[in-house]
Amino acid sequence: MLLIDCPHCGPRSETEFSYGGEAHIARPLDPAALSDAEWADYVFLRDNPKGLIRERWMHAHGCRRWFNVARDTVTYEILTVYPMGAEPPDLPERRYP
Amino acid sequence: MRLKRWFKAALHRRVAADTIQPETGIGRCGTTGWSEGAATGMNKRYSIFSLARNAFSRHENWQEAWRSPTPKPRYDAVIIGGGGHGLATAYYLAKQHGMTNIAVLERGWLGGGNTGRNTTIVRSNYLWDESAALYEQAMKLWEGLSRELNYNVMFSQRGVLNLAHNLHDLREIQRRVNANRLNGIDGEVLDAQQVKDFCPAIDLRAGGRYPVLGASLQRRGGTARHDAVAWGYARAADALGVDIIQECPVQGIRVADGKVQGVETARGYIETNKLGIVVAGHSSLLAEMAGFRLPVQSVPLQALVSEPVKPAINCVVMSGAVHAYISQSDKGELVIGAGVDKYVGYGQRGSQPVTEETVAAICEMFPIFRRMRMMRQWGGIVDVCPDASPIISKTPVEGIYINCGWGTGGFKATPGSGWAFAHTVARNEPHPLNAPFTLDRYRTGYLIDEHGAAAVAH
Amino acid sequence: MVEDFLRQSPLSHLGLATHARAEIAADDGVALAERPFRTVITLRGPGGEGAFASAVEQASGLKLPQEVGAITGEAEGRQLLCLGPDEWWLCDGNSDAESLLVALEDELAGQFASAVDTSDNWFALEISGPQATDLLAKACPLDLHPRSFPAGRCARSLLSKAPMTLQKLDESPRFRIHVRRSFADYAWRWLSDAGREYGVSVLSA
Repeated sequence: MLLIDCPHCGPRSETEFSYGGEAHIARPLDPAALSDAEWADYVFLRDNPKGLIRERWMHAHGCRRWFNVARDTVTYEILTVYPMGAEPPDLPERRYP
Repeated sequence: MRLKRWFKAALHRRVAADTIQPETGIGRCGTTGWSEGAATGMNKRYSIFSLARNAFSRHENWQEAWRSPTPKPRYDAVIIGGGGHGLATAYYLAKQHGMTNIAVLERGWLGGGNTGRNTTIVRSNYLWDESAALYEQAMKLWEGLSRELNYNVMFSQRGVLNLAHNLHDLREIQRRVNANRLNGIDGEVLDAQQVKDFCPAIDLRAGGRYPVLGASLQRRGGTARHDAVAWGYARAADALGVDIIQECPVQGIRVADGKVQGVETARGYIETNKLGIVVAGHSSLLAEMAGFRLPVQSVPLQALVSEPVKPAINCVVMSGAVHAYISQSDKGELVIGAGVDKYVGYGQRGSQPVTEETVAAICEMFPIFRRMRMMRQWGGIVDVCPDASPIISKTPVEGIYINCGWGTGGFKATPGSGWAFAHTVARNEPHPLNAPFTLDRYRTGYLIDEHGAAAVAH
Repeated sequence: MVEDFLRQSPLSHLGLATHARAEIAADDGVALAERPFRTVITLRGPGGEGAFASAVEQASGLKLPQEVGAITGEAEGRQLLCLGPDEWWLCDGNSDAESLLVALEDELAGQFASAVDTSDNWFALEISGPQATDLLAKACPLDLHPRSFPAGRCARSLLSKAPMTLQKLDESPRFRIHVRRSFADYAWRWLSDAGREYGVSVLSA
């Protein structure tokens, strides 16, 4: 079970949070200009790393705020928590075979 | 007749127990007794006569079920992934398409991934025509599989119930059963009393929390012995000349001019022009090695088993609404399946709140199991597609084929998946059965949305 | 606002008054009490010591707490609970919501902020007794140790499957829980059932 350090409420159980998937995906400014393949990439393609992932969480049963988390998908270690809209922190890449 | 069946079952259980110890990794096959590189196609058939013959030598001279060959420098086709789907693919490539100079590469031991971690449920009652056809093809292969492989996969068509806990569930079930019957797949809608008659262990009130209003029943559904499926396919493929290479992780894929050249492995470079990737939760990693991306997310799906008890539940009971399903193995253990974690992960254990929720639901629906002790809990990494349907498809790289995205429902499809994928690899084009399950469908919009029939919500 | 004589607790079907007591029985570890008609006004606005904070302070007489989980005011009277960086509850056990709302709207006029009466959305109950913390720990994932959740703190979390707002009123200990009105029956039964091993007294409302 994850203990997620909510930036407003402190460490809380994962059951209080909802998951928002990969972070830092920019919505295309002009969707109509995209090809079908580009649109499919935007809608369906997500990073699925075995290692470091940057993802969005929302403290649904708490302060109800969104924030970003950098997490290891193998050890489940939460490396850092940072606000929405912030640049992703510079962390050493982690890859597992 | 009954006696023969009993003997056959006893024989295969004995063989299975003798040759493989899944908990410890690689079985004894190929590491003792039988010399490496022995001629292929020499597997002795299992029969009552071989059972009797081996009884004289105290069952100490059973032939190894498959070889452990040294990889050749080049194969006509290489399948990455020695689980049920990969081994089935290899078997049908050899059997149906005459491709016998092929290899299966497995990073660990055969069936040590999701094949050995699922809850062994087999059914084909999917909603959409495309999925129904694919899973029904698998079901038909299941029905003759033990005979085809000369290996008892312990396929037991004991019936699968999908419970309805509210009016919406009931309507969804009626719709799905109607769709199934139009597709020639057996299905019935049971009311609450019929559910109780079919599965007496269930408490229809379910503590008031998950009242059972009815269920769909597929009588041809049931369970199979998951390890035996891997072993049976491995043995049969080996007999046809397929090289099964365990402890051989793939470290890189060589691509030149958009065509596959070969794979770098822990046991050297292997050249090939046809590469099938069937690696479930690790599909994204392999795709990345080959230079393309997949619309899948990997999450742990967990299961647990209880201590063994006498026969208490005679069918498979699934509840998509509460994320719990249960059946009883031939050993007597209750096999309980839970839901998936809600976030990406590669830890083969699963999140504790998911276990808790599942066990709570099981206790409400089956009060007789409340005092059961659970013996083991584990997780398998499933790769989930946005539409909860698999991808069996060509890829942007010529000569590379992908079979992935089975999410929480891959085991039941094992024979059909291998059968269709073998066709795709051998002919370089999909069979009509898997043509809709392309990688391209996310671009074209022809999704096959099976979230409803996928029992465990993704 | 609903006329007082028409107001009904969402637990009225349980007939709690028939076995309610004035205080916890000697051999019981937990006491439950319903507090059905508390006023709750949800406030949204910018945090910090700006115009919003002073407007709220003018209208309510309470300082706006700035740290999530902090409470100002009196447990039995008027309170301000900080539930998020831009979300507060103004609770009151005595005054009705209307007069408070009028005052808030006057003070907040022209600001990018909102004050909404959500009293009828919520149902409150209190858990007290020597084993109140043990009982609550079964239901929610919060760390309830006095070191990390002392009296005078609040938190939103889960009571089993029901979203709740929890306050610790004192270290006796006594907790107040708000759940949605439609979860009142669920929450009450869940706690009564989970508390059986400690013995549960029902206190009068």
